[in-house]
Amino acid sequence: MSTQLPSDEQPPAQAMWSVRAEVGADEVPTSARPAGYDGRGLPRSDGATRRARPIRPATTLHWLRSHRQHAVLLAFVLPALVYIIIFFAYPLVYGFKMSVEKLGFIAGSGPFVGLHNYKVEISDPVTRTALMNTAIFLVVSIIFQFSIGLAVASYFNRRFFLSRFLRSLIIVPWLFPPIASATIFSIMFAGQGGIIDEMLRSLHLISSPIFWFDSSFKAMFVIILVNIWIGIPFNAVLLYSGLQDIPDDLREAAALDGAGPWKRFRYVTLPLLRPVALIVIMLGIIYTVKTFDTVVLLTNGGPDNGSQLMSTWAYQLAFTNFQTGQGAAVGDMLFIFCMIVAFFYIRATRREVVMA
Amino acid sequence: MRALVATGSIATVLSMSAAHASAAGGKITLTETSYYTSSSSGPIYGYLTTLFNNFEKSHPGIVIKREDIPNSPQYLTTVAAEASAGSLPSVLMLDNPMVPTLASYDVLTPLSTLGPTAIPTLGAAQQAEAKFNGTIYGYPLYTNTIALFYNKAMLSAANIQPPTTWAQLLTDAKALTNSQHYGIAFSGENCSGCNVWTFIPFLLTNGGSLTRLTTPQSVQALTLWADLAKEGAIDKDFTTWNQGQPEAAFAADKAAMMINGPWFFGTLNSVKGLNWGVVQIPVNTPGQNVVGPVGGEVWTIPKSNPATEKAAFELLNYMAQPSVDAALGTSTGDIPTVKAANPLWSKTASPLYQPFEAELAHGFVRTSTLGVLYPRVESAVGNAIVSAVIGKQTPAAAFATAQANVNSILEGN
Repeated sequence: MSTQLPSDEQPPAQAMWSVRAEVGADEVPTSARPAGYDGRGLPRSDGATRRARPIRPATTLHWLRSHRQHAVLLAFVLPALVYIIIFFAYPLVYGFKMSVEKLGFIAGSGPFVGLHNYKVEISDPVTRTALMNTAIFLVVSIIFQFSIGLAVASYFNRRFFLSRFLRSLIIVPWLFPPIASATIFSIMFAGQGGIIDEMLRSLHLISSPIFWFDSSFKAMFVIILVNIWIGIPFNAVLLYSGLQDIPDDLREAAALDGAGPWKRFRYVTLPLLRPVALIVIMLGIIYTVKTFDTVVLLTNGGPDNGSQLMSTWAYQLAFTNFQTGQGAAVGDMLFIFCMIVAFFYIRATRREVVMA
Repeated sequence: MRALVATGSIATVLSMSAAHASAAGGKITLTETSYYTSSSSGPIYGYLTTLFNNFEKSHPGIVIKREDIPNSPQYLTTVAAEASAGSLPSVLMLDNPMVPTLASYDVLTPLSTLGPTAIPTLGAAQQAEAKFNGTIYGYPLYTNTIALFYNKAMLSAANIQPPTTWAQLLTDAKALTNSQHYGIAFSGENCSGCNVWTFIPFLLTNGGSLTRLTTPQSVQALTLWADLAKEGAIDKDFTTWNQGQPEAAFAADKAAMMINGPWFFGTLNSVKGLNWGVVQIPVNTPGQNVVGPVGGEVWTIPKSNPATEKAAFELLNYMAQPSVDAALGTSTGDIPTVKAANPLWSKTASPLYQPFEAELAHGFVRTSTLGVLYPRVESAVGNAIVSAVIGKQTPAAAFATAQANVNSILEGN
């Protein structure tokens, strides 16, 4: 396409690239290719001058010379590829390998058992409880984290006395180590002398102490509450920065057109906040699905597996019962669960992202 | 005993001279891993330093390097990782239920291949505890179990004698419950060494069994626990308690009685104004002998090379000398298991150990019949206990569920 163009009329992307080419690399990266580029016959922005360059190491292989552009492309991709292979693909494949082997305490390698571990775990009622609990934990946590986070962000979007100071304080739960916050919450929720029960009692809302960990409903309530508390600042801070990016004049214009506060929020702020909101929700899902430490410290999956999540169940199988293969299978099921959630999430939001 | 040590020494000297040929420097380094760390373990950490120093002085060819890891889930995950990488320490201390699991992977040295062991000098329960499938894999050098602690002031204020039967325990625990404190506290969480460990004296003393849970004897024991919870005589949060929280409640006057082990003697003695005593755990029918779960750690020798294994064996035999074992008992707060060490130890030991020793006379080694399956059976039974005490299932129904799970585990699923 651009082969006919004189070199001083290169498309801007290539022109920009040729500047960077001076630094050392000498081909066009994928992102800088003009649309419709077919991978062959790419024009040289520096034409003949390149040939005049005296430096071409004599050791350069013939293959490299003829496939130079591929080699260079590869060189750019390689660091990321190596990183992904070592830190993502290998553990993932290794985890899968463990899930199809009969493994015990020492998880070196064991006999291949096919999908046996998956079959056992799918038919195990605890796994089903854990799957259901994970779904409830996820949905309820995200709804409240996001809506409360948005309310907090909207509140701080206006300037008022001490607003900056309070805004920096609101991040504290996010900065707290989960071990510390979970321990504090377990003390607060104690039936004997716990501050929550004392408070409810002094308000005459309850007459006898509530034991928060003696039913799966209450145990789930506590771990979800704590997870929401941890997640609010994260949502609030990101949504706050999203709100800051929305120009005030848009809302002013809407106000002049007669839109009330709710309509301004609903039809101006919310649509413009959508890209940030989508990212916040996605990160929230990731953080929530992998929640582990707070749950272990608060309920340890109890009572009677009543607040068992996929993450804690996988851990218990592998490190308490020493059924490492089945623990790996549950871990992989959690991964598949995440992939399904992510798939539907991306499908449901793709159009909006493009629009935004 | 001395003869055994001497035999061990000769064997070690012989094997060391063989090692000299290959090992540069001529010294054998033993790496040692226990969960006794300087910050968390009290007198035993310091005593082991002294012990190892003395051993090095009398065995100039051996150097000991400590690589201790705090007692946490991390301990076992590290051991598992080292085992699969073939990098276990030369001397490894394990909580006794873990020995069969490690031994089943063939990473521990069968001790009788290294020479005559000190096992015959130990008590009967320890002779069983040291073995897996008939092979000796370690030295259980000290032991413990659990008994009933009571707050003397609270009991005498209510004019109550320490209970000896289940009926008394239930009545007394109810009578001792008021707005200030509960009648009793013990661990109810389903975790390793938590509720099942605490439940064993009730279950087994009454003729129940971890593998026959639907018998009346087993269900009766669980019914007692469910009744204690139903009557409000125990803080219902106890299903989230390991051994630490009951001790904290008892020390803070929030529980009149507790079931716990002698490892808390030191902490309890340091609580000002707390006047406490210990008795055996109550029984269902008078005359039953209380069966205590056998606690304590086992010192093992992971497989490495003959010279190192021999040197490690030398160290273990050194530790099994009566005088050393007596000191190990004193500094761990446990009871030494070498028979000849007991008289030395009891000269200075508190008489409060007596109920523990009486229960250990009928001690139950958790892995004796279940072996490597113990952790999974423990987890299945632990769930049933929680289910019954929170009232989710009746004791009979909870144990029927657990029995099905235990059967499945025993069938090899």
